[in-house]
Amino acid sequence: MTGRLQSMFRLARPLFSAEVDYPDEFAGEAQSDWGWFPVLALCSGMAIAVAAVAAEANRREFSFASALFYASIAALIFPIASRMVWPGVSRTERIATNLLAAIGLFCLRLIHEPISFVDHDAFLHWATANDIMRTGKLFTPNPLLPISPVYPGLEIVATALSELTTLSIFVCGQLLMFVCRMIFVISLFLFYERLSGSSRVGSLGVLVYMGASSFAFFDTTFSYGSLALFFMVIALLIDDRMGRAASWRCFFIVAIPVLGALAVTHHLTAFITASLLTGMAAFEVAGRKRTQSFGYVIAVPAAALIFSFGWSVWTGNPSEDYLGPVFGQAISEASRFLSFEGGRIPFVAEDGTTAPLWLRVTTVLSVVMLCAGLASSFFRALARAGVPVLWDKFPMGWRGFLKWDSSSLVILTLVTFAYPISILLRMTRAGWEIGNRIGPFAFLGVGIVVAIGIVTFWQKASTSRLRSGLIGTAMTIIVIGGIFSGSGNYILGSPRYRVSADSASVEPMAISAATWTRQRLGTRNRFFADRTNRLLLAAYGGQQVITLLYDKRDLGDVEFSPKFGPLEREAIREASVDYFLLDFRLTEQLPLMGFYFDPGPVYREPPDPQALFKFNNVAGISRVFDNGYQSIINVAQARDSADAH
Amino acid sequence: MPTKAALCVMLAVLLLVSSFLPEAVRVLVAVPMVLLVPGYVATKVAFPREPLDLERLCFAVGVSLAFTVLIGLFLNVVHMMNVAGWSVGLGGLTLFMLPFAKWGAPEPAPLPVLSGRQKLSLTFGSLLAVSAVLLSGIGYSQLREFHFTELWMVPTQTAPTYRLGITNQEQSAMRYDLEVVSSNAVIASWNDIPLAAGATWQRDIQLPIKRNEAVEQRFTARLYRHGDPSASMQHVWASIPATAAAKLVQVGDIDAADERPDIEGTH
Repeated sequence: MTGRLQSMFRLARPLFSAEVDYPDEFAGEAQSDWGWFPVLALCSGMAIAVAAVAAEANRREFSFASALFYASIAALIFPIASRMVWPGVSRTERIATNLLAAIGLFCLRLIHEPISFVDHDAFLHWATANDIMRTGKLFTPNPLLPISPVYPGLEIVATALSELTTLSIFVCGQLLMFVCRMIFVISLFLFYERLSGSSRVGSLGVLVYMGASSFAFFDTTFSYGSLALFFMVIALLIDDRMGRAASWRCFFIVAIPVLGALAVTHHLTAFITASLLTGMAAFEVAGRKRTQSFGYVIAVPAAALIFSFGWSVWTGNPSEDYLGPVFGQAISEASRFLSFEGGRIPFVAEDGTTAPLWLRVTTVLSVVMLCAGLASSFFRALARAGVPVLWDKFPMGWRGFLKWDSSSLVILTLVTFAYPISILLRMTRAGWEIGNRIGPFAFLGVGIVVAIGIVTFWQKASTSRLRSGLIGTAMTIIVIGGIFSGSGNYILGSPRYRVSADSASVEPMAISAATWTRQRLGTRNRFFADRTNRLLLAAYGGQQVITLLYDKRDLGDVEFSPKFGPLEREAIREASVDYFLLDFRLTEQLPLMGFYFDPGPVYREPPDPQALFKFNNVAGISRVFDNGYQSIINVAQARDSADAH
Repeated sequence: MPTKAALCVMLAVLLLVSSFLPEAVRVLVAVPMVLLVPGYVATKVAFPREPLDLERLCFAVGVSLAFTVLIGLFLNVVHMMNVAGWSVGLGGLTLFMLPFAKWGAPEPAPLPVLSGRQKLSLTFGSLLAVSAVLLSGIGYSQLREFHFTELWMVPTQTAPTYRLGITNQEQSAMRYDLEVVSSNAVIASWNDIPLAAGATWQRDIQLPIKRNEAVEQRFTARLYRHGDPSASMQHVWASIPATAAAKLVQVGDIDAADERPDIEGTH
């Protein structure tokens, strides 16, 4: 048996034969000094200043703005990564420097969204928070994202802060995200450090984690997933603590509230956390090394499972309706892609714009480097976990494989398989978002596994500046590739208005129109508008917008149809529409996201402007607002008019 | 009582009376009370006599936020999701846990001392970052791709009175001409309306809606740049179908005969 296995793996011997003991580095770790941290802080400040200059250049439409912004990210990450690779750096310096990188990336996010929300998902949750502030109640339906009020953890904390401090939801949201990000980074560092037994692996793992496509921007958006990720890492840290020094006090006072809050904050994160904890407990039981009672082993995962599935069932399984179709579509598109029947063209937006060559190369390089890192580290990570996979320790029979020291590290190593899946999903239209969302979970494994590879294989105890510089460069490429994968061409926002381009479509004129509706028409009118304007109408205007997700109706056909006939009148009657916000700018461009209203119809060219003028001659339709680009029409009288029958 | 315990008590009590505090003080009290203090006291109960190291700090913030979420669910049930509810919930829970907390933990190892040059580097780096973010906020707020004027005409509570309004968002002072017309007559007009950048002008106007008209009645407001009557900048209209006219006139006759401030329409 052993001989056959050995011959099978002969070609891959280098992957199995490396030493996994950490090089002699602990002398440095025992020291307590700030090392290069103050100098790195100065460099980071300069990098952030360059990023601000890039943002201003972008507003003035200089073509180099985007490249300068990415250069500032490189200037932020490269010195930090090169320093973290170095052996003998003190633990204090590592933690401070990890925080520095996180603060730097958060500042870039603030530069992207400095005075008000601009990202699509932030509007969805802002609308729910506004509903809580307005009604003093939870669970008010939110047509933009019906599942958001059912998982109100984020909005509860934000409204609590806002009520108590009188600050705006935007300020409270940013403050909350900042605190969560800082604690997230510390918790992840501690978790990695405990699993690997090395602060060097911990700090490198956190830096590799920053290469997740959603880390820098999406996971600090005012969105329920951002807070849930924070709870997830705290839950993993609690589980680790229970493994080392179990106590029911810790379980009831710390674990139960955190797991309960996670369950009511975000469906997917709660389910994945419960699965991870269950997997770790199952491996712990299978490994039969646990000296603690069975109760302590299963307490945390059992609570996570009960809370996450319990909340989902109690609220009527909304996540099934929400996630089911998304996953279904993604899987079917991924299978079509694998059978060469087409998919999304990488680096090309739906409107046909292509990313610059250097960014495409950087992104591909980041994937290649991560794959190389995983390939060279996978078995080393398993070996660190105590699984006898190395050449000279190969077990005599299959039972020998069922021995390990750290179940958590084994599970995280296996989690790295989610990374290639996320890459595959990103190649599809329907699966892009899921691929992006899987990133933070896949990188929980990718971070520590690649870090173990760097410490035990790539850098070891070498103090070569060239080698640490090369690894620092690789990590910088990984972070930039991740940011580009998550944010695309419009990381700084577009200096010009773009149609259906989320943050690049949010601008003061549309905000002013939405605010006008609140002041002059009152709130809770039933509005139909395009993808961007309905966000603004719900958030700034407090209007009840009509969406496919909630109302199961897409009135885009009514808005773009060439004539206003009985079918159109019937459609607005059935949807009980009061107002349409017509944005004539839609007729100038194809939508960047691929659709003007809700996913579905595919557009080859922008709609005819005459289609929007068709309302002008319909009796009972009044135009109540006009700013030259947008108009608001009242269709209530035409809808209810007897002439219609 | 240990200093830290006293500080927690003080913050919890201040939160209970936060409605009466000035805004700046409310911020100083509420932020730690939502983000840290309840969880900190809880860790003192869960891990008696353990110092506040990094792990405990993470737990403290995590548990504080978790408590806030769970208290929010409870406040929703008792219909108290307001300042008073949050004050009692978070402040009360902190005070409730305090007697069970065990203080007197050894102090965690102190952080290394920064040299003068290191302090300078840190300060300068922080200042650079903060100013960069603030300046980009200013740049962002000044970005105006579209210069525009908003014109609106909406019915008021006292039908058939409509409110006309103009807001100048052209980023410079403007002068406008405005007219309101029906299918066969000019109902009202205003020449040379001066508006500073960002300013709003509004008037109420009574539209001459005929009660028993068999066809649609349409009243259009057209806005022009002052002295340039060749093309209207914006136009809005009220379309009154035959079935709605009687209702509008009736409501106006009954409710709003003497309550029409600043009506400038001519008949």
